Amino acid sequence: MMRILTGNEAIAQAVKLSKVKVSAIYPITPQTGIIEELARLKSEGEIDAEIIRVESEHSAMAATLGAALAGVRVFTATGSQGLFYMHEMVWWTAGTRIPVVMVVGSRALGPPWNLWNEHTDFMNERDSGWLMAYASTPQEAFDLVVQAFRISEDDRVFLPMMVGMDGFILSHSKTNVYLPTQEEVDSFLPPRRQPYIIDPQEAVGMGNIFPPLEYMKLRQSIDSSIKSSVEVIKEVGIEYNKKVSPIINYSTLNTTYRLEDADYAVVLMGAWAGDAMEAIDELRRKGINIGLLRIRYVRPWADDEVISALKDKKAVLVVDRAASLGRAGPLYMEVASTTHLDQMENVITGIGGVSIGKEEFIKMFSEFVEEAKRGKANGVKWFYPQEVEKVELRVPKDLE
Amino acid sequence: MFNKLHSGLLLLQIRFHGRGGQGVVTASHLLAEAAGYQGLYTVAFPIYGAERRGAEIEAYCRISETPIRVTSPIEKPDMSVILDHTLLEVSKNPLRGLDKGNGTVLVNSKKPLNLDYKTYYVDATGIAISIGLVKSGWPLVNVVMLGALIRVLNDYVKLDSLKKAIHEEFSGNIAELNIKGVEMAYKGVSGVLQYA
Amino acid sequence: MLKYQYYPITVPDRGAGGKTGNWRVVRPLVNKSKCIGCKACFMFCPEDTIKIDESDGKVYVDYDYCKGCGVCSNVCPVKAIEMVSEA
Repeated sequence: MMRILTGNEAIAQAVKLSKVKVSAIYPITPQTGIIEELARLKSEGEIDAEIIRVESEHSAMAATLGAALAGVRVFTATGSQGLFYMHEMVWWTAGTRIPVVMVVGSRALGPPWNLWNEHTDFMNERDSGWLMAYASTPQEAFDLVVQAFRISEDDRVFLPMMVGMDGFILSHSKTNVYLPTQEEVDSFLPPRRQPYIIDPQEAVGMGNIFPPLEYMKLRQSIDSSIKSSVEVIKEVGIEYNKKVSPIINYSTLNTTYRLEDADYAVVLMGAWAGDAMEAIDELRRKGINIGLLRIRYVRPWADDEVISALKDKKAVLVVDRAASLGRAGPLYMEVASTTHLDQMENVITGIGGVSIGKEEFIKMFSEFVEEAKRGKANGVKWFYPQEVEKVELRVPKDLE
Repeated sequence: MFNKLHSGLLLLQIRFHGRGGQGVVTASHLLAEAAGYQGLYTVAFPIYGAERRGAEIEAYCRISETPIRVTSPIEKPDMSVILDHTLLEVSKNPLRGLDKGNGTVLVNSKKPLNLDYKTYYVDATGIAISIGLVKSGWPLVNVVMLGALIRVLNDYVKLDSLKKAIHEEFSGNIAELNIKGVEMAYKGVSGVLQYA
Repeated sequence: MLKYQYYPITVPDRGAGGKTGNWRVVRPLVNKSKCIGCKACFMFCPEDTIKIDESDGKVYVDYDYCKGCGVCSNVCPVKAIEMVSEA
């Protein structure tokens, strides 16, 4: 059924159709709509999940993990400061290797307070041992959440998975979302599976001290599971297209747009891929041969897909909505460590919600192509759509 | 502009202006839901940020017969819907980016306004007060304005679709009052065509 | 690729760490004539090495695993457990 839903509402529907049993979420803009919608579904008897009210994000993940360890399907969501407050438990959850699904409504970090979208919070968890997908539309956010339960609970993976979505741009946009039926989702999503459960009748200890060698083996085991999840994700994606919804193609981890015959490539992730595609169409009409690689999975990182997509390009521009301050954008560092071309440029922009649309992309891509023609498309740049006024400095009174 | 609506090529971009608490975002959502019932592609979203009662608020709605890819706020709208005409004195935002020739304005006002655009007006405040559609002293004009908007759009989005969306969003008396207001505004909209 | 998947779990098992009795420097000696069978030492022993003699309800120590920490001696309300040097 086609419905008009916000990203947050679509995710709540995905949680409902995936028959989640426990959800502990602490509200934070921009993902609060998810827990509001889940609470509404619960009060109207549409879901029988236990909604746990917690006092912080750290507790939200602790309660979620506890329920998961006991053997039920769980879901949580957060973003920005909330994700960072949860950070310790995010890593703890990955280490348990218990399937958990979380949505990150991404948003900038303070100080100063900023409510708007960027990808820094999400990208900061990429060493944690979670699988990480990033949506570009509310539809994709819905699809990825349903698939996340299946992937996370696959015995070749057994790791938690987070699905990112752009705060406001996806979380608060009401748009067409196709909701499959319960039967369709049931045919795709088998009952809960996990590697072990905490059961008082048959005691096991989780997380007790491991000596160095065993600890290192466990860490490598997580590493190899993430790598082998590439095949699982493709398999699950193809089955999702067949049994649940064919709207978005999930047979590959990442997607491309007009890239095959392009001389120049743009790499980015998230909602602004739509604006980038509009800009690419416009530039193509002007005879500029440019195409797009949209990253959907940050973990696992599909080396093969990235290498084959970019190998014959004259120059690559990676557009990051996040920054490792003093270095470069995280997506750029991932791409640059995967493939080695003579010309690879990084643009950091859209930070703190700076609006980047079709017109801004046309300007940015044109400048990049001009630089590439002169053999100068290298380095890291911060791109502003307009001038920013100087801020008056203030000094302590005794220095005046 | 509006005779091109059925060509399938048009991306219709509408920007709503009002004050925090007036239901500007709800208005954009209801229009999107109504368009959705007709199988159209649509995206509605608010200006991103913290909500402040009484402050200037914007919301956006795009409607198209093909999937919509752009995500940025609408800077060059086909039409601006202004829920409170006093905002025209507060800032230049309500008329920002409108095309001098084709730009259309629909404004909640008792009397015609002299603007450099195709201007329509409807007394949504008067309608809301006359039928008792008032909450905490604020006349609820957001949904009422949609009735006039549908008329201006030549029924591209149908009244029945809007009524369905209203029933989905509200229940009981408030739904019935809003529908009554929508019907009155649909009949009551007047146009003042002004060209630069 | 690893042959096996690893998980951070441990299963409780008697003596999984070897016979820890040889860590002991001082040994608890139970004076059965003083013991009143209150089982405070049994409750407090961190290693589950205080055992209960079913014939009289009083306690004895499993010296294979007792590490000689002395908690039992400390909590005994009638001073029936004395710590003596192993040397």
